[in-house]
Amino acid sequence: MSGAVHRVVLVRGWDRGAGGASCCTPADGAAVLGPPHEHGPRLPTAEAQRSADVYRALRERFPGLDVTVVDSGNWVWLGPAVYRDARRSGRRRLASLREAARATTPGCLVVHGEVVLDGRSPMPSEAVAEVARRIPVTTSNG
Amino acid sequence: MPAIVVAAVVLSLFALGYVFYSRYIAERVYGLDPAFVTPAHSLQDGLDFVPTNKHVLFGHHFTSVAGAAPIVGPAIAVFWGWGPALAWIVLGTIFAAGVHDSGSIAVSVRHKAKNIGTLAGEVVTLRARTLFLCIIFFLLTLVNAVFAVVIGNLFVANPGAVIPIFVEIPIAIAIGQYIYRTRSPALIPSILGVVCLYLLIWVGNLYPIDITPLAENLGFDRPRDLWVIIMFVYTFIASRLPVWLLLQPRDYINSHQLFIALGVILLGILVGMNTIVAPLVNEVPEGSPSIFPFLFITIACGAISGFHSLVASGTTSKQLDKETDARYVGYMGALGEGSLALGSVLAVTAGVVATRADWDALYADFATASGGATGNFVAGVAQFANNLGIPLDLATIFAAVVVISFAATTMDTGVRLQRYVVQEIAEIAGMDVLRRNLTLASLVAVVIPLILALLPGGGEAGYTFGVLWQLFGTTNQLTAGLALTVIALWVLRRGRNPLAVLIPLTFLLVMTSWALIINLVRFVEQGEWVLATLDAVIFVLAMWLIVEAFSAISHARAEGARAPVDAGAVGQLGEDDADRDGRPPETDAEAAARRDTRRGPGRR
Repeated sequence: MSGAVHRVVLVRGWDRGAGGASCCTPADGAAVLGPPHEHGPRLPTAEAQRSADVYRALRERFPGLDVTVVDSGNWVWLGPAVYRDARRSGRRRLASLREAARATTPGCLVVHGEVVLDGRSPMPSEAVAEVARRIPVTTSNG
Repeated sequence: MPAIVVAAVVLSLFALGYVFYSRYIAERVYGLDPAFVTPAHSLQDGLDFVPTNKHVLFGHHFTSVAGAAPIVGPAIAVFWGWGPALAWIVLGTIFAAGVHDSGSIAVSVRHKAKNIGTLAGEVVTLRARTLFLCIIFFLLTLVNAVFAVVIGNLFVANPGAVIPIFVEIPIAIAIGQYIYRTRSPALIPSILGVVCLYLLIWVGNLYPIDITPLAENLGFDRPRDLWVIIMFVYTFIASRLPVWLLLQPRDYINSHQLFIALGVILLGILVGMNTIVAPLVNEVPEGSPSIFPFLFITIACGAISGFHSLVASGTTSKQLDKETDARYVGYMGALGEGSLALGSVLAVTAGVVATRADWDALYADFATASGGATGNFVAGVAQFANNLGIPLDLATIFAAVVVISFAATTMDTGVRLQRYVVQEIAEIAGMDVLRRNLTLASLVAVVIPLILALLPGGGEAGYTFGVLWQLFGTTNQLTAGLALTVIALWVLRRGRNPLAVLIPLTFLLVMTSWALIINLVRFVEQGEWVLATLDAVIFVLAMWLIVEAFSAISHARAEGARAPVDAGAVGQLGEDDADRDGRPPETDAEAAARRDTRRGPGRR
């Protein structure tokens, strides 16, 4: 299936994905340093684990679906991508802009440029149901 | 010469480097294969291993590597003239940093996305893992020391920046809490945070906070030292907070500031049509550090930064969708960093002053040049902002706030990372108390750079920029040297020509060792025993790296084509070393044959 046709965006939680701050000090120490000792392997936070569960459920239910996982801080990609998807789905400019801004909500799920789960508690089953409602299973298995 | 012309030429060279050299590296040296199943697919868990669109991943990678460090080095290095500084930035970025950054991703992807520290232990020797930790320990110590002094100097020179910077902390915490608790979109609150921050610049300008009288009453020779202590106390506390509370929201605000600052620099140059007043090649006073080797360690970030290998192999490689994306993500990340360094050079050569005589005063000798480098950058950016109609006094505070925000976050994350390093070294050394006690590890992470930052001597500018900055550059280059060694070994074992990796590796090792020896002799002659000891220890690490690299590369060459491709530590094809789809790693001849088949007869 082409990602341009059906795109689902899963935004990472707020306690995850601090990309870093500077050339010389990547924030995610446990990830960049190496073998787990006292500080690893990184224990996923509740939010990160939930987000991972949602991701895995979507991949399992819709194997061919383009699920893009993005940090909420990556607004440079997130904003235009969601705006474009929303416009493609027939939304007006203002509504599309609103969805693009809403898509920076940590933990949210976006389908076809619409924020369908706001990240409060997107359980895997809810996420699968929301996506299934918007994407025909015949094509999503594609 | 108009700054805009120089910017256009450098950016064009970067574009050529990407189009031609990065393709050569990706196809001929690394042999990146779009059909290779990356760990993001084979180990997919939705947590760390997630196949990610290359544009999304570039955003993550670039914001992870961009910061204040590529500003400072170039701002000092124009002391030798803007020509040599820019030449090293361009050549280093195209032929060293791009090779290093994309190679770090590629080699990690071929080894289950393991990070460079682990790969050093596996691909080079087990000892190399300890070497890696030692180099990182000194690198972080020096990073934290130099950035504390950067901030101290900027607060002293720009007391109007104190209110915006310190009020930014509760603003960021409030935003973090709001987003975390209410699950609201982060974009609007963070933009409001930036607006508040810039309104506070106006307040700060009205109510500057100068701590000089307080520092004098407390017995400090330099008011900067009091700021240094305040910053380390702040960092000790901030590094213990959860990331969502302060680091994440401030990062978000900083990401807006990064684009605002880049926009101001580019637009300011375009509108103001500033010309470069600094000399192409500067005739430096007698007794100054020589251009060889010191230029090449003064500019580390901006030409090549070893720390990029940590991000590239630590997080980026786990999300790489296709192996061929390593070219775009890694090489473009290096070019982005080079572009920041270009902005710094233009700010301190075209923006900072209007005449050559004024510039000569700012760069009269190396101590003056290095001590005032960050201030010169701030003044230059302020001038570019002034070209856009922003009053100069507010523009100066704006530029200082941008640099201090990045430097403060650098310290925060630097101490967090150093804590891990201290714990790991403690484990190797069998120091159980230090390994288990987070507070103690944090204290070690804070106290050692604090002592370095407060080291007396070196005149008004202090040692920080004249010497500590060079030692920082040296350790950063050593980190890059270690990563390049790992990459060269991997390339060699695949039966490919490693020359494109070996040349920057050799160049870096020669320059760093040369600079360390010159400085060591000088410190001993001057009786600077703390610096001499520090220099000597780093020199030992450099020699250790050279021995490890030489012996591992010689061994790999002796093994020749018998060594398995993409093998791990011992050159045996194990579970880790097979392609993730179960294919054994292909030989170079097989890869070439497959590529030829794919291209077809007409596309050779």
